Amino acid sequence: MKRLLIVEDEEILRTAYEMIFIQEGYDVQCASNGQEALQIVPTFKPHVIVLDILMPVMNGIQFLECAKLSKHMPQTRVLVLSNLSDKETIEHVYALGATEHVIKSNLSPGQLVKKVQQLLSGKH
Amino acid sequence: MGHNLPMAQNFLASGGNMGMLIASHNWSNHPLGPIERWPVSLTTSLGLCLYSQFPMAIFWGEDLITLYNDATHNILGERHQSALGRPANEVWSSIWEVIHPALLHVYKSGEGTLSLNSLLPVRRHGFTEEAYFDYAFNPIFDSDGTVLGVISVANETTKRVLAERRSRILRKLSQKSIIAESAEAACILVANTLSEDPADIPFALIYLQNYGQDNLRLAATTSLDSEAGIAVKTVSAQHDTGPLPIAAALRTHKPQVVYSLEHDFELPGGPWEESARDAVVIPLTEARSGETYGVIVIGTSPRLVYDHEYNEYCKQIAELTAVSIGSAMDVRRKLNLEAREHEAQEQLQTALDSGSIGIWSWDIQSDQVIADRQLAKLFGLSAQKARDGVPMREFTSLIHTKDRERVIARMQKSVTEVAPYEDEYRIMPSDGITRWVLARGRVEADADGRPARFPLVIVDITERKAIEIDLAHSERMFSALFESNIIGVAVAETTGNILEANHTFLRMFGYTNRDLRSGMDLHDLLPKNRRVKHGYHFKDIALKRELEPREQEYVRKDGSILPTLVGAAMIPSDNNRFICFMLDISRQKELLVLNKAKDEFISIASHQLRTPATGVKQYLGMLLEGYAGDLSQQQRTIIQTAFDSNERQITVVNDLLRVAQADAGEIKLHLEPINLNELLEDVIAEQAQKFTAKKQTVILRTPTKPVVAEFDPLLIRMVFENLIDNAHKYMGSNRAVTIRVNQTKTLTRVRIKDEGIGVRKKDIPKLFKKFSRIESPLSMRTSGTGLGLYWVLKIVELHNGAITVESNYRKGTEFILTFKNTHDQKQGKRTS
Repeated sequence: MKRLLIVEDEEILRTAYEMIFIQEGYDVQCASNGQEALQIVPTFKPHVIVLDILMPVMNGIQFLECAKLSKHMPQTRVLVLSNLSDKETIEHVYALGATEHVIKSNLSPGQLVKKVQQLLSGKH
Repeated sequence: MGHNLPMAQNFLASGGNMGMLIASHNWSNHPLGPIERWPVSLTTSLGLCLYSQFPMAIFWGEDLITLYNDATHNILGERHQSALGRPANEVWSSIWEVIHPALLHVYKSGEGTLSLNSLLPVRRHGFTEEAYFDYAFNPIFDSDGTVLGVISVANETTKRVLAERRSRILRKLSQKSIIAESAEAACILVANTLSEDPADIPFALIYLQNYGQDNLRLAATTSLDSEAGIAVKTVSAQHDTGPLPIAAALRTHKPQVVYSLEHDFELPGGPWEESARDAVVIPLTEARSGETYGVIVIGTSPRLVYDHEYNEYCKQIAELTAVSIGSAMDVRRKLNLEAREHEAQEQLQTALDSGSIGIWSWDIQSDQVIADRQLAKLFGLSAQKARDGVPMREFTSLIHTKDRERVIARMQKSVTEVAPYEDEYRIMPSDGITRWVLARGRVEADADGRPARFPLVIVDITERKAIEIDLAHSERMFSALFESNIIGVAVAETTGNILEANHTFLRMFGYTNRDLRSGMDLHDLLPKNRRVKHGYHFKDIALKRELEPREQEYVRKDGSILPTLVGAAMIPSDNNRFICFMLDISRQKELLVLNKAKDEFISIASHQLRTPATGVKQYLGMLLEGYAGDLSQQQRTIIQTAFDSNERQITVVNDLLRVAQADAGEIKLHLEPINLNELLEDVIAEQAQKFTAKKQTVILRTPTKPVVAEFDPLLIRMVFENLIDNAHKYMGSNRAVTIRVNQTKTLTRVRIKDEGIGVRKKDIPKLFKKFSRIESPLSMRTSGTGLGLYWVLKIVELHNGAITVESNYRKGTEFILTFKNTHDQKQGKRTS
């Protein structure tokens, strides 16, 4: 079973993503900010992290900086799901090891699931 | 030390700590075996080594087992703990490449070696340190002359090497200071010299004060490219916003050390692989004048301790830099003066060369005027005739009719009174061009006291007159300005004392003429926290003769802040007084603040609106995509309608956010070469479905070769998406949109022509206005925010392009986008 970590501060979205991926047969855990995610990552060892950028306490960029995933967990794929679409942010998250960046409001549940599947199969 | 050593080990007893350590070491399982069985040549050499105050070591046997004395600790640094009795290649791994060949040589040849000031990096003080040594390797023989080991003696010369290296740079700096022609040039020369010592100065930044402003500009750097994060172009002199304590250094007049910069910036490490970590910021204060010109930021070596000598070196660099800048400014002042003197001389020469001064002599008795060539030329007479003499009336007839009578009368008066004569009048030579002349002379009397001759000098003053007339004109203009209600004007001394001010100036500040008469000072009009610094304004004006317009806050009499646009210029040929112009910009400032608040509001609101809409999208999406079981056709239709409506909301919010960003000037271009043919094919393919659904056709006509120009790929894509989508929306069924691309040497053009509803001519200007929707039966049915074309225009303008529209009402519209071809578009910021 593939492990998937959702990092999203908006409860309504977090719950939606959780429901979708549980139904798709993923082992899902959730965090509502980067700091919570940092605590979950070492033990849960997710295959995929679905990461929001703008979050209180610790945002997605700070999370990527702290987690150093490419060093500690090079296999983990990171799908950055944010409404921030300026080129600086996108380039920054890629530099920090994100696998892909998509605009949150552009994806329907089916498209989101497809993205994650592509990430896992290495076709992205 | 309570060790009782066996006789054989007595040589160890006085061998310091290392002697004790060797004695207590367990050698039984070591290749050297127990000390009692060590060969005499080893114990003798070791004894010599342990007694020495110089760092000495022994490398013994094939493995070059290392034994050493107390003084060697300093070279071994942190490795000292585990080094005893280990093979040399382990103990000296970091310098093995340097010493191994020398050791081999000693073994093979039985000859000693000597190396002077050799770089041998040492791990001590918690890092790898740059260190230099003189060292010698000498063979230890057994009785038959075989080399059994090597004994080395070393002497650290780091301080000497550094001192020589640094004094060379300081010498160079003091020589170079003579030649700079400007402060900037001085800084660049200093930076170039500092580049020659990357081991001490991995990087340096030199900032110069912008006089009259509270900031400094980056004047020069070493070994940093202009994109380096630490090389900020302008920094505040008041508050340190970045990690560099520049304002602190200026405030305290003392060097400020800053640590661990490598976390924030990518920094060069000089010749070393490590990055520089720390830096010192030192004010550039010239001892002679006490003037502080700016600061120098010196990155310190990752391989050296920042000790007293290092600190002194950096301080001397700062001092010499300040001297350099100071003398460059002196040179500049001098050059300016010389230039001005030179100019005056040239003007005089030009006047003489042009022949604008002429002389005549009038013999009153015979009424004959003899004139020189210049004067003849001035009046348009032949030189021959003038030399031979002509009657006075021939000259007077050439005087302007309006002046003639007066001139004659004045000359007559001079003759009668035998008095000096001076007059300015116009002449009309035969070439028809009226000229102004100044005539000056004195009537000479004969022996009887009767007027005899009237010599006269006549100078062509046409140009001066023209200037005078211009001047009178500009004086009138200036008075109009001075009396106007628009601009505040004051004349002040460089001390700040206000001599004159117009009523607008006084009204802006809430003062009266009485206040002015009882004494006003520009300093008192400044906010309290800026008063000292602002002294520079006036100094700056005297130096540069003018102050370019800039925004500056002042304080009204009632204490409220007055934002202004202020500029000043020294009064010509006056070194103490300047005239200062001020515009009250509080209204503009308020508008700016309001606009900014509005943009921020839109941005925040958009984000807040987008999140719930995204939530709705996810939940409806789950229903539609079967995450909650199958839906009936009716349920599906209802939910799909809700989903589509929500999609429109997301589009609107996205448009709002983008436009707010564009209005706030937050959009930056990331230019790269784009093949327009491919891009358009791609956009069309993406939208193909909806065109097909409406039975519409898209025709793309492109040249056979690729049309490549520099664009921001994401933004230009949006432009075409938007325009092509518009064509789709505003066309009925069975219509076509034609897209043509062409490129000349200088221009790239894309024309998008639809067969849609068209726009009335009067409505065309409205197309690109924010939130404008043009009334038409069709547009009521289409989904749009009235922001699309506004956004398109913004993006095209950011690309230095233009967009024009041609439309036939009810027949169709053509959008024509034109871009200048350039491979280095200046507006956009290139990042890749």
